[in-house]
Amino acid sequence: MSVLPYSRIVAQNHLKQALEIAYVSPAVGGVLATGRRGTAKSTTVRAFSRMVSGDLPVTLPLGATEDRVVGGWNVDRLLQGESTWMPGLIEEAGGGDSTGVLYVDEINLLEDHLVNILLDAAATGILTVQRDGVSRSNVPVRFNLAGTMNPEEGGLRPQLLDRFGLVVWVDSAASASERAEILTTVLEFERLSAGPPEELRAAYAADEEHHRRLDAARSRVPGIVIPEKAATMAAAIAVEFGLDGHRGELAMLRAARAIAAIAGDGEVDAGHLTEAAPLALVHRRGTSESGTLRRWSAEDDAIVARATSAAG
Amino acid sequence: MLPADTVADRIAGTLTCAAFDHRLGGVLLLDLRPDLLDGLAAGLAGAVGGPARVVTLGADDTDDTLWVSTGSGFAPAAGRLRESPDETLIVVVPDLSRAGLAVTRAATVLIGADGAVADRHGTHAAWRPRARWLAACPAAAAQRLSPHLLDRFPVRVAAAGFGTPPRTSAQIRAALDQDTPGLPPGLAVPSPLTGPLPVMSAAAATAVTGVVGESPSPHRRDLALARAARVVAVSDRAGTVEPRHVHRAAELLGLRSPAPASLAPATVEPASSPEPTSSPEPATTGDGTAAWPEAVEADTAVGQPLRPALTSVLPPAAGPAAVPEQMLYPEDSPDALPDFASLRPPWQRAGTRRPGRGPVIGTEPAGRPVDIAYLATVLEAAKFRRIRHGAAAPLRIHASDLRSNRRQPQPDAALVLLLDHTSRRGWDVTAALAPYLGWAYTRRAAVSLIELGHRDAVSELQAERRRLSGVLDPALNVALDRAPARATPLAHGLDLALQEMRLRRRNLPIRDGEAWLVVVSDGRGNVPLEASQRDVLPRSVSRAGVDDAVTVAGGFAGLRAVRAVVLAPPELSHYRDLPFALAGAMAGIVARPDGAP
Repeated sequence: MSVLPYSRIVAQNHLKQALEIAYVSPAVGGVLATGRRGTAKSTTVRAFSRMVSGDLPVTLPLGATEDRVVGGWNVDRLLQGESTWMPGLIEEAGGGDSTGVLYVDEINLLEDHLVNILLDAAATGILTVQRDGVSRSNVPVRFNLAGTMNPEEGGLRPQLLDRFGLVVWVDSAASASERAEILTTVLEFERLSAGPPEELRAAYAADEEHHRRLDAARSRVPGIVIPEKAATMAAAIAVEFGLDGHRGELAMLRAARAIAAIAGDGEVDAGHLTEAAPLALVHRRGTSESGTLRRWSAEDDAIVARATSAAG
Repeated sequence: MLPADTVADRIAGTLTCAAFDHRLGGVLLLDLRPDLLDGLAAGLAGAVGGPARVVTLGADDTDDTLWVSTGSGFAPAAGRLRESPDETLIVVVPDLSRAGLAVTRAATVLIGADGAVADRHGTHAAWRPRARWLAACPAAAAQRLSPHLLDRFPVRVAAAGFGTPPRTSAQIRAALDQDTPGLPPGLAVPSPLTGPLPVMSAAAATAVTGVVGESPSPHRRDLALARAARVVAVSDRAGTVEPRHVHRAAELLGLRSPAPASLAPATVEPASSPEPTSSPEPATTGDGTAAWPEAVEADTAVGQPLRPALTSVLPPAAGPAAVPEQMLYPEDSPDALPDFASLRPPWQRAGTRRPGRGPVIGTEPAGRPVDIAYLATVLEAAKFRRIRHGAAAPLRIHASDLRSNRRQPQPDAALVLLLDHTSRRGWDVTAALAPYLGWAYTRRAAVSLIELGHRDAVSELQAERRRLSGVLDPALNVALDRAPARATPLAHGLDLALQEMRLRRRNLPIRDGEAWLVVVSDGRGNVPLEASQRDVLPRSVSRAGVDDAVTVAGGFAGLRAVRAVVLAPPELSHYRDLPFALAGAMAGIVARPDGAP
């Protein structure tokens, strides 16, 4: 299936960075991209998935029924008189040894009860199925949620927002030249797709190189040092923002470590934390009960700077 | 080059573009006559140049029909939106504003997507969406649609004046003999267009962003215009997309196109005869599939000459087509009031649930064999088939397998509010309305608003009807702030209110005594009913406007269990008896503010 090569996506630097962080350091948690319509959120996620796994992500579609999310009987076989269990999308994405990605397009339009199921499985890493006469307990599932949404259609509940390690605001391209570059890139790729396969393969060459770099960074992550000073800075930032619990600073530190690994640095410093803070904290600081996200502002940057300098 | 001089040209051109490139996005025809859509879909199906399947989606489609359905032997089968590589799917939505929630959600996730998946009832399917979506919608209703949904339809055509009914006896006879929906008169059959995809020049890309201009979400429109320009270039057999192709595409799509410098006579190419369309070699369509162009037919069903899509006999972009005055992107207007979260499943609301009524929002175990959800029932029985009867036994359904549709509760109370703005000069009606609005809120009543006599009206001689999502609908606040005009088509407003009340009582499980008609008026109608219906200024009015209003109001007296009240303004210096005459005819009452003389 031809998806625009990841390396050819114009702009979207924040979203790209968040996806790369989540890939390099899966422990950071999932990524939520929120932005207005037509900002290539889904395209970027799919292109990234194609780059790192060679295929589109496991996708939870709108209209999915509960049996396909948690698993259920294979109905074709049932009608032939055989009982065969069919794993659901959660297991498909996170049932193996590695941490998978479960992608939910338009996640804010998903039915509430499905959101609750996702929430439970993502929070505990355990899937429990008790339905249709089947009992499957403590099925380990490790998956990162990747979601995209348009806030014009309503927000996400704060509990679900908190499950995402990183949240990114995606904006439209501001300048006419950038818009022209976007459409030229897209149309050129469509032209290549209709042409000989070797030209299409060549378009993905840069993706393969980028994928290798990310894999190398991923292998470096365990060796990245988090000095005492960086941990103190993260704690100070959390205090300044009045965060509940430790999930915020942990996500920030893990993201900072991934940023350091991608950059080829040996240890986490204030710069990495400053870069990670907007992604890890935008949805954790002072979000109203409605789930409406407050955008990251210059004032927030100033808070981060104050906290890091005080702790440093 | 594809012509764009008339509405018919623009429709034919957009269909040609959509047929050539599935990535163009949905085509939305505003104010199209409903009977013409089937013909357009048939034309689009013919223009894709291969097998095509047309499905029409409406208010009754649910997730169970769209994504997964039942086939022979009750086995799950492909839903209506499932695509296969060997045929093109044409999805037709006759009225996007009335389409069901499942349809609008499907359009949102499918149009322009790189991939599609369906996971329901133990089945999984994945495919690459290549369907062409063709929808129609009244322009007035479009601004209430979700901007997110409208964004999936970047190609818009104002089609209000399209498709004049046949007038000559020959045309009428031809229409009578027509068994299948044909193309509307005046519309050329779009020919399947083929050819390699041209390269987008930098100047053309700049022209695209210039034509689309500033927009909250410009990218999808940028891409739609660029892709349409590419099709125009293909029709022109050009190897590169130039700004002139962009401007012609902009005219096709109804976007405002500034007169480009490149259209000066010195750069206009001479009319040329293209290569014959019956090339012996297969060419490549925009989707990368091989296809042979079909020979162009000589005449349409009604004898109109055809305009082959591949010809370039007109000078390119000889002048911009008349730019439609109608706003094609109502979601960009600051006055747009889209329904909140209209793509989300409905929240729970109070009200009665009756089997068989209301949108389906799921299934549940059935207490009795009413409104059965067949697919869910069969699937439930299938789970226990082997253990109950053995593998070889036929499928048998037990009472415990029965599943019924879970339906959204419908309101069992209705409020029809008629606002005569000419009677509200200087009178804040909010306090008088408060008890009725409070009642409607607590009862979660269905609310309809009839407005007349205000300056924003499309026609000052006619009243307007609007259904609100409830008393918290922002449109109600907007209505209460309107400035009065001079004409008072009260009879027409009451006529609309009467129809609306009848519809509500017929279509909703309204309880006795739980339907209120609230008329805010002083009873001084000055437009006869016939003048409103014809939308023509009357030569003389006299008492006709008042008498017609009272006559129409008499219809409410025959509606059982509808309670009617006339809220009259505090100042009734003239014709003090009119509100009472109106209320008397309706078998209702008059309520006036405390202390009114």
